[in-house]
Order: sequence, then structure tokens, then C-alpha cells
Amino acid sequence: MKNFQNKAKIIKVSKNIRSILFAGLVLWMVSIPVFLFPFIFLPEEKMPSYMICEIGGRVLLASLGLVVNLKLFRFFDRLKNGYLFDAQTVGNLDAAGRWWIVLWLFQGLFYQIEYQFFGHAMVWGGSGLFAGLILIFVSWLLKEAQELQEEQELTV
Amino acid sequence: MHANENFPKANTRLNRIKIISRGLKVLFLLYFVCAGYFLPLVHKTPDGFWFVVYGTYATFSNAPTGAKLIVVLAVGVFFAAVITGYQLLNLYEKGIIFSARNVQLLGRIGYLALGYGLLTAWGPALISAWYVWINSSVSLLNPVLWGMTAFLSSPWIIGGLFVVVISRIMDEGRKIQEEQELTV
Repeated sequence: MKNFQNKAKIIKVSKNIRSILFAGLVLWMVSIPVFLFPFIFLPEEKMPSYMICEIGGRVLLASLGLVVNLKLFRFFDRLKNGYLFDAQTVGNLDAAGRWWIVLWLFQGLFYQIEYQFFGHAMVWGGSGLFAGLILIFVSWLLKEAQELQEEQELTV
Repeated sequence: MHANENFPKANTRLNRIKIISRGLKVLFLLYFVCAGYFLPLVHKTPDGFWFVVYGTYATFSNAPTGAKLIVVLAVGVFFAAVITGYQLLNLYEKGIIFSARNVQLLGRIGYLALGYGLLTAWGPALISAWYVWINSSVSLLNPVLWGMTAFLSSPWIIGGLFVVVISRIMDEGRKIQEEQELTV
């Protein structure tokens, strides 16, 4: 009975987090075309090189953010459906961590270029790397549980 | 015999977990030392003033008692989370991954992160509401809107919820391990 309650709680909280992540997904999807608006509507002569660099960088940042959000969304979607320890669930979490680290690296590059060439404020921190590493670490822990479950299924 | 001894791949991962836990423990200690310099909800502005929770003051002691109380609470919650994290990493370093203690510590970290998120999100809103109350010229909508947006955009709240879910999942893992040990 207690086991069932625990699983029900996981499903309930996952459902809520999944909804928040879905809202994030929609925001990323909207933000990418919005960033591209100047490319579509402004004539070429009114587009200085720094603007092209800025827009291109922001679109790439938003795309990477979308991928991280999508992987986390899929992870919580699997949890919501009751798949706690399977390769796909763990894989989604691991991929989210790896993409977050890629996003962090690209953020560093983007803000460094902005700081060096256009004098914008440097706002790059280590939180993205930390979050990515934690996700990968948690995915390893879940992988252990996945193997335990597979062994148990073989034994039974 | 431990079940993982039959699987070299699982053993490698377990060793990796132990090594990373050791590294994270060092990082946690560094964070603990640095946290003394970077108080949550407090920072010095370029013009030499102190930003405390919501307003800017000439010195830290000029801040209202409510704001100081929120800072003290946030520091307490933050340090409690760091100590709990250190205890958890100690267990991982020993190779204990699925135990009741792990689940308890993970859950505690999740709730502390949630608490910290709520403090950082609602703290400025509470102080702003206090200002609204003593200065009736400002609209009451301002702190409410601030609180709502801060709540929805706080990484600590969603991160805390994430850790709580992970602790529940680890609890399931613990049960599987217990069952397996009984079977073997």
C-alpha cells in the first residue's frame, strides 16, 4: 500500500513539473521566431554585423535551451507514465545534463564575444555547468537502480 | 556477495560515482567557505550602498529587522542544505546508494531548496508589502505581482521539487535492492 502511495506521489509531482516544463517549451518555441523577426522584416542594409551576431547567438542559445527543456520534459513525461527505471527515462536525464553543459559552454562563448567586441556586461556564471553535472550524476544513480530492477526481473 | 560484483560495467560506474562524490565534497567545502562572502539576498552596489532583500541602504544595519530576519533565515536554510548535501555525498563515497538514510537526506535537501526558493521569492515581496502598508501611495498589486513572477521563475523551487521527486524514485530503488537482497 505504501509502495503504491509513493509511486502515486511521484506521478503527481512529475505531472506538475511536466506542466511547468511544457510552458517553458512553448516559450522557447515562441522565442526562436521572435528572435528571427529582424532577419525577416529588416532590409539587409539596416542590419549591422553586431546585430547579426547577436541575433544568431540568441537563436542558437534559445535552440539549445529548447533541447534541454525538451529532454527534461520527456524525462518527466516518462515518470508521469510510471516508467521509473528504464533506459529511455535514464537516457533522457543523461542527455538533458549533457545538453545543459553544451548550452553552458556556448553561453560562455557568446557572452565572451559580446564582452570583447561590443562591450556588453559579462553575465556568465557556473550554475549551468553545476546543474548539468548534477543531472548526469543523478542519471548514473538511476542507472544503478535500472540495473537492479533488470537483475530482479531476470531472477523472478 | 554484492550483485554488482558480477558486472564490471556496473562496478566502473559505482567507482565513478565514488570519485565524483569525493570531488563534489571538495566543491561543497569550497562553496561553504565562499558562502561567507556572498550572503543570499544581500549585495553591495557599485556606488557603495547595500542592497538587502528589497531596498538599498547606506549600511547593512540600516535595513529593517524584517529584511535582516529573512537574510538570517535564508543563510540558515542554505547552510543546512550544504551540510545535508555533504552527509549525502559521504554516503555515496562509501558506495551506499540505496538506503533509507540516503532517501531521507535527499528529501531534506529538496525541501530545504524549496524553502530557500520560497524565501528568495517571497522575501522581497513581503518587504515590498511592508513598504506598501506604511506608505499607502503605492499600489498593493506591485508586491503581489512581484511575488508571483519570482515564484514562477525561481530555479530553487523547481530544483527543489526535482530533488523531492528524485528522493521518491531513490526510495523505489531502495525497495528493489531490499527485495533483491532477500531473493539472493
